[in-house]
Amino acid sequence: MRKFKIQLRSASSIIIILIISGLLVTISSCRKLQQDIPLNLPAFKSQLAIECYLGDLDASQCSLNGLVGIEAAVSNTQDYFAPISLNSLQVKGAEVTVSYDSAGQTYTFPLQEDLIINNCDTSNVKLFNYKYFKYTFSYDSVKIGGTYIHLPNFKPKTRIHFHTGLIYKLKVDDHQGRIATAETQWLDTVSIKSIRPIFNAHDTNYSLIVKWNDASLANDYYRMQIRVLNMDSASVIKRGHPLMQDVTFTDNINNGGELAIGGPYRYKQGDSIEVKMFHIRKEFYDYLRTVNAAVNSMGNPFGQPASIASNVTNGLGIFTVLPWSKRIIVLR
Amino acid sequence: MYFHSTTLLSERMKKILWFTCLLFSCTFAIGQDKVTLSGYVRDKTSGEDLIGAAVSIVETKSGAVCNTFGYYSITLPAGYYHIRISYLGYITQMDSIKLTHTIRKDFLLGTSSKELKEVTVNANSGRQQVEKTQMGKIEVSIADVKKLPVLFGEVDILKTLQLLPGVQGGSEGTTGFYVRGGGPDQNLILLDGATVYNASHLFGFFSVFNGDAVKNFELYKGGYPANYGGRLSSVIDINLKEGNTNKLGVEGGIGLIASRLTIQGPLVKDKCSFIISARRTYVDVFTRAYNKSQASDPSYNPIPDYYFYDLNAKFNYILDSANRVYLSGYFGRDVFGFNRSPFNFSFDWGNATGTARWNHLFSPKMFLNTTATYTNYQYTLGSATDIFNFQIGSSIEDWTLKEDFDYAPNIAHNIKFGGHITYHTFGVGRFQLGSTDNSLNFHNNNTLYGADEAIYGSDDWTVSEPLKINYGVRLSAFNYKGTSQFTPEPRIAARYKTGDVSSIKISYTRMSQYVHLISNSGASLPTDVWYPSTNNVKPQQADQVAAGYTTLLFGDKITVTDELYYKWLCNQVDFKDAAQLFLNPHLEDQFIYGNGWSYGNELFIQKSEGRLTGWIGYTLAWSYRHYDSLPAPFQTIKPKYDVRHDLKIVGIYEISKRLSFSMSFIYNTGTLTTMPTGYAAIQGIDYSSARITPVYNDGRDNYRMPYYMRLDLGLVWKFHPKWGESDLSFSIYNALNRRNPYFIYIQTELAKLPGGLAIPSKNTGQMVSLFPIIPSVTYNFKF
Repeated sequence: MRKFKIQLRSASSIIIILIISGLLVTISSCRKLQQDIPLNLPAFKSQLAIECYLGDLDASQCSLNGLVGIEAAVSNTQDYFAPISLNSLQVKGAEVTVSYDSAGQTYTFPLQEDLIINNCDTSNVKLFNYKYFKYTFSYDSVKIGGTYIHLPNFKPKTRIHFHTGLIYKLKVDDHQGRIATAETQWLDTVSIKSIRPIFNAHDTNYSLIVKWNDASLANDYYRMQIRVLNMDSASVIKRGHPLMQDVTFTDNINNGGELAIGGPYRYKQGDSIEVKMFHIRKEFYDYLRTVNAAVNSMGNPFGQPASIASNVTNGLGIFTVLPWSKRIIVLR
Repeated sequence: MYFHSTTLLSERMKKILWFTCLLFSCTFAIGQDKVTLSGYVRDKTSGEDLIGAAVSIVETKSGAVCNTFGYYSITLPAGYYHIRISYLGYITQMDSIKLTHTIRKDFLLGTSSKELKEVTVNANSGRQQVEKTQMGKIEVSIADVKKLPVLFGEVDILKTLQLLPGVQGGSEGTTGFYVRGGGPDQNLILLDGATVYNASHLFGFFSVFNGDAVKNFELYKGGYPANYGGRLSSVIDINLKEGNTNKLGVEGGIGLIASRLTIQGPLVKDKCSFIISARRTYVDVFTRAYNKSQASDPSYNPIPDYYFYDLNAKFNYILDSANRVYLSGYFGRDVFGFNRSPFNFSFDWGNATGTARWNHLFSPKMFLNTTATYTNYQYTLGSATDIFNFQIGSSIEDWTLKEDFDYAPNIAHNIKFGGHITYHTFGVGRFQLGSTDNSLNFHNNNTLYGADEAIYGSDDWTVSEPLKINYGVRLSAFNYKGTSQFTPEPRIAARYKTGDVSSIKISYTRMSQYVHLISNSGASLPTDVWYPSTNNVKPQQADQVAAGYTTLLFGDKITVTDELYYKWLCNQVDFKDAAQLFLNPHLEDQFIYGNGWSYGNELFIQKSEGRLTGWIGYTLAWSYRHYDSLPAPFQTIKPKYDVRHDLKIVGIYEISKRLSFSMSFIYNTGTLTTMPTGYAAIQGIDYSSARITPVYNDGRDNYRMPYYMRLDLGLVWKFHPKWGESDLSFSIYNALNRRNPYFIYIQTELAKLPGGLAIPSKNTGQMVSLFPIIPSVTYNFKF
């Protein structure tokens, strides 16, 4: 067949064809590869979503340092495609109590309702709608993050005890037939041994090496937050959120010995830096891990879809203690 | 069923063994006063052995199939016989011979590539399909593989396998595959007898096998011969070319992303030959040049380096008429690197295999192949700054010795027996973290050791002209820390001819698997880790029964095969939710164990003669897994590769001597994925961000994605320049430009309420596709 007898003799012809093919690939790839699709998901049954934290839950940049002893967020899990509103999300009118037994006596702490703390971290406003204040005070309203918040029906409460080994119990009754319970236990606080800034001349930033001694020969779990305290709004725009590092880890690489963690070069001369080390329970570690996995599974083909590891019975979420220590350094 | 060393074999197993021995002994009782015709069947041009070529005696309607080294042996009464020698893609040859005494006769077959007359292009593979007892085996010639349309112009054996019935492709564009409801780790891939643990480059988009170096490959989906074991769902046996024994030759190709070069030829004519083949991508050459051009811009982020390469080499030497040795090897690496002060990052992974083989003929009836193999797969991921450095990695290394005997005592029996031992070293996790001033130094090295062994025997017994039975048994074992676990693996298959061109077949096989892939990403990642069976991790096991019917239509031009199968799987390994598989010294804590079953029907219509060749494959299948440790009522799940309907159509049309057109079409039911049914607004502690968190409470793999459909087109345009041969291979991947599902997720838009609290305002389902229409061209040459 003569018409097919054309032979491409020169290498340049081949190269031209290769280039044209490459261009075609590029052009054809321009069409949108992501599209909306209707999803017919299985039926969803809403349940109580509960987060309840015990400890010196401070907002250290705010005037109420060390104020809150227990905070709880009680909400409903939601159908993805049901109408969305704050009312459908939050659970109002629930009875939330934390109790523990100490020296043969039972202490019970009913949590205050309807308080949305707009803390000083305006980019991470939370929906903690039940709280117990650790210390007695007499304000009707408090100034948090530049905003006065009214504290309705506030009454001073008994101070909570945080002792190693104390077992705390949580009960949430939404008076709609749903009662969720959970239990947790206090842990030792772990002290930060040293913080060593490392200067990098290349981009004139610092990294920090934080060291501490592992709490015990048992499996221990930690969470470390490093936050720059003296960032103004302009700095936030330029450098991002002041919480520069928020990591969780186990002691499995050096159980019982000295542990250390470093980080990226993100700190600058003049920074006042708070390093906060939480000694956390395994159930909280698993909860954080599974929440991360679940969040990261959306939009990530390599993600691992995971159901949230919950320690709440008849609900979903976490009830845990948060013993912590912190150190502040200034990079001069 | 498996046995610990302290456990005696069951009575049932004893009966199986006695029965097998009894049958074997029968084969020696007959066959006196016979002569043996034996020899090799080879390619006329290159001298390559033709694996699986059929040597048939017309008068007795029986014959032999060449083994992996092209050797055949037929013992029959003295007389005058007509012999037919046929092989897929080669011109069938007829010969006649007067057998008065035992003789050796080699046959040379010519390829059909330059012939277009239909009568001469007779692969005769349909006849073989009808005659043999083997079920669930499919071969595709490398010549056909090279004509099929491909992604980015890279010929890929594993992607060709995905076009066969019963084989379900993994993620879009990748080389992963699932066979008859089995997992991706349940496929045994052998390269010249050496196991290849991670057969892909670039996160699964390309396989490690260079089509220029491969001589043939076979896929077994069921009815496994007794000499194979170690995986539950399939065996892919790939053999490299030996090298042209007649003349020096060079071939290669220039593609969009990679180029190839192969040199082969005789070192001593007709006695000794070699082949060396290499392939490398070159995107990094351009990215480096671009990075260099932008070096003066301080805000420029350099593009990381990435490339992969393969190197295959093989050498063989015919010592004498009874002895031949082979040495072959593969080495391939993927290299990813980023280097910008003060941060350096490197990630490289790859396989290395080595094979030494010795063929020895004890007699014309007895053939021995001794194989020693070495396999290594490893990855290393490292990072360093001026104060810290860390390195993590994992590896698996095998040393294997195999003995395989072929014994053909008479025309009615073809016996195979032998054994192997493999010593495994599992570098499950290496971790090192240190500081440059040595104030910090953590390291962890979790290395495990194990050995597996097996002995096997089988007989392909022609009971009568219509009835043929292949029976055998494989006894396998795995040793870990002084404890042995045994598994008897009976294998039996039978063929009954219902006419001259049709037969029915049944088979039962048991397979066991002692190594397990630790991966829950759903994709083939270099960081996947292999883990041995231990005291807690039991060997996986599968029992498969199959029944099939094969017939030839339209003057033997079309072969129709239909197979039904049912497979039981036990001790299946999966993972807990959010399993920690990375840097975890206690991996077994992350496993869950269960059982499974799958069943289906595969219809395969193949035309391997004439200008138009190809096949249509349709599979209707179901697959299930059951894990007691999953929350009720979701313990029984359909795995993601449970695909109900799977249709494949492949066609190659030789338009002229210069032009061939090809197409492949795939349609299948969407794969399953795990979707959340709702979400929770998780607040988190101070300063951490509140997160809209998907709630997965409807079990695993609960959502079926839209169907997958793809049409690929190809055109090979051949030239015959003075210096040799060349061609341009054009491909259009996804010619319909259809947006096939790669993954699906829910996109949440947030709205801030007064006070700054953010809650979802809108949720929408999103489907992400990977490849639109992708044309490509590759220039190939040969001289």
